Amino acid sequence: MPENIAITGLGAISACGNNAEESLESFALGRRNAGKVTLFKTELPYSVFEVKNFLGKDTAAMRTLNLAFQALEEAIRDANLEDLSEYRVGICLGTTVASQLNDMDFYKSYREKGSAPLDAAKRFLNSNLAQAVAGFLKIKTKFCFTVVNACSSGTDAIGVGLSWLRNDYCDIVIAGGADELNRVPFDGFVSLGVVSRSLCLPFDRERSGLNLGEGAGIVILEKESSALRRGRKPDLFLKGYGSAADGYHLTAPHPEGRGLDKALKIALSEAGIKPSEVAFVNAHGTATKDNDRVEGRVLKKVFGPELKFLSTKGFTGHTLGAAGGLEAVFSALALRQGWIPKSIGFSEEDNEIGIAPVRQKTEIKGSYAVSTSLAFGGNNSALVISNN
Amino acid sequence: MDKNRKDKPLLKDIRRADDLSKMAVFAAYDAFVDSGLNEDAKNDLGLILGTAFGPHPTTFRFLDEILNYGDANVSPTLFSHSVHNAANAYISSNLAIHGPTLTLTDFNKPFYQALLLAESWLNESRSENILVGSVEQYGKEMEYILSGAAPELRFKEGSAFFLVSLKDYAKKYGFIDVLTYRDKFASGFNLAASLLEDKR
Repeated sequence: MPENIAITGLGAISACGNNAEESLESFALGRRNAGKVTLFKTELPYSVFEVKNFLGKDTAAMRTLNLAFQALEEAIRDANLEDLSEYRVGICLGTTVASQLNDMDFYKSYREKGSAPLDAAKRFLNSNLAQAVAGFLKIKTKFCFTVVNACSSGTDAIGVGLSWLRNDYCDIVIAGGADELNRVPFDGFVSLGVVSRSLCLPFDRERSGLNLGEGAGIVILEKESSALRRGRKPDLFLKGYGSAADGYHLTAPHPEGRGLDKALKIALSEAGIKPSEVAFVNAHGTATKDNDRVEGRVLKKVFGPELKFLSTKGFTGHTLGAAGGLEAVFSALALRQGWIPKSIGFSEEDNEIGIAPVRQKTEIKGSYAVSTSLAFGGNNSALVISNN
Repeated sequence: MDKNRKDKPLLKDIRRADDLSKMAVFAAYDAFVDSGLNEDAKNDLGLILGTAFGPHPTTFRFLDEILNYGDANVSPTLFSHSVHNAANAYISSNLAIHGPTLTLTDFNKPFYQALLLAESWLNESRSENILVGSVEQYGKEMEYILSGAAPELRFKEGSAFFLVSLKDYAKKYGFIDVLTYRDKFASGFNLAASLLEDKR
């Protein structure tokens, strides 16, 4: 019987709050902190979910790193793990923006003059997310890389952490994801025609696309025996992870959600549970026509029409590489608190989906939560989290 | 072009892909064909791709679009190819792979990290067979950055894939017993960052 993998620390920062407590407050109040872009100059009028009142510790570093450091510090404090030196630590984090050298000032100068100040290049070379976090914590480990699986990066990074612990490569893994709101993916997603001109309406009949957001969600994963040895009795566990590719299209999901269906079944099987034992699902729920239709139908097929589910992207926007990390944290918090917020933005059921998310703050009964992610490029991932 | 090349059908399917994705698709395809596995194996075939810099030339072409035409008039095709997992998406969709797939980035040792992850997935039986590879693409912008900071580095491009498994039929080329890496390239990129700092 494999050892239980505990979740001993949680950290989150997004438009709905600069820490876990603020996030829960936004959920309880139904507060959506969206607005126009202020972080960069753009001619595009779409609403976004920016993190407010946040500068970050290191003004020379990319914003993504600073968001990650903020969530990381909260998670480490929550885990009561200030000294990591006696543990074998792994670091696996997901991102999209931090992996790209897309500094406009650098490139503009280079293409006009054939040369450019190299500050942006240095920042880029120091910004591999997982390596930067290792440097920040002064940890030397060979188990350290950044996942760039687009929208499922954070979920997949947590899945990698689970693999490392089960293989006894590490005692503790810092996992999750971070991404900043950036002009380049903003323009890119608008060009794809998937961004809504108004606030996003996940799973709603009138939904017209996503809103972009930013943030970081980080979990501390630890073997249960390691946590107990240091006097920490865990109340949350990572029970399963499943991942499967659609193998269908560069940007659109498989019409029948073949990959998501498979990923869910793998995750549930690893956790050793039936679909009926799942208290709720935190869905990917981007509010695009395709994603919500495909995902909603698969959730109905796997879990049945009575499933309690929601999308928290109505509170955070789509935070790309951070999404899986944030949604894992939110799922864990919900299990701990015993409630999920309403799936904000939803009011009218779409008959093409045939299942509706929760319309109000809802008490949850049960020990298991599932968090799903569907990525650009057709990867689908699912986590099973438990308070048992 | 050799009219009899077995990967010819791929050429049409990936004609819109950038060079990074094309190199990765051909290398992955060749590794799968070389393995002798049948098509059924693709149902659970895993795919792990490591890269240091990803599709940086395509990213810069996308920045050209923003600068030339404005935020509202950029190419969605270029954008979708500028994300790091585009190559993986092309491989999985063209080879009809339905197992777990993951793209990772690491400046120092992406292929080594990909092999380590493959080992952990095989030990957990996430897949019986995994395509593990690495890809890099040359670009003049990245060469500018690296040549000024680390002139001893020769920035080339290419892709290589292995099919790895714990099953007996995977003995074709041998075994991977111990994974280590020399810090040569690690020094190169760490050197790049420190020399950039010194030049300011």
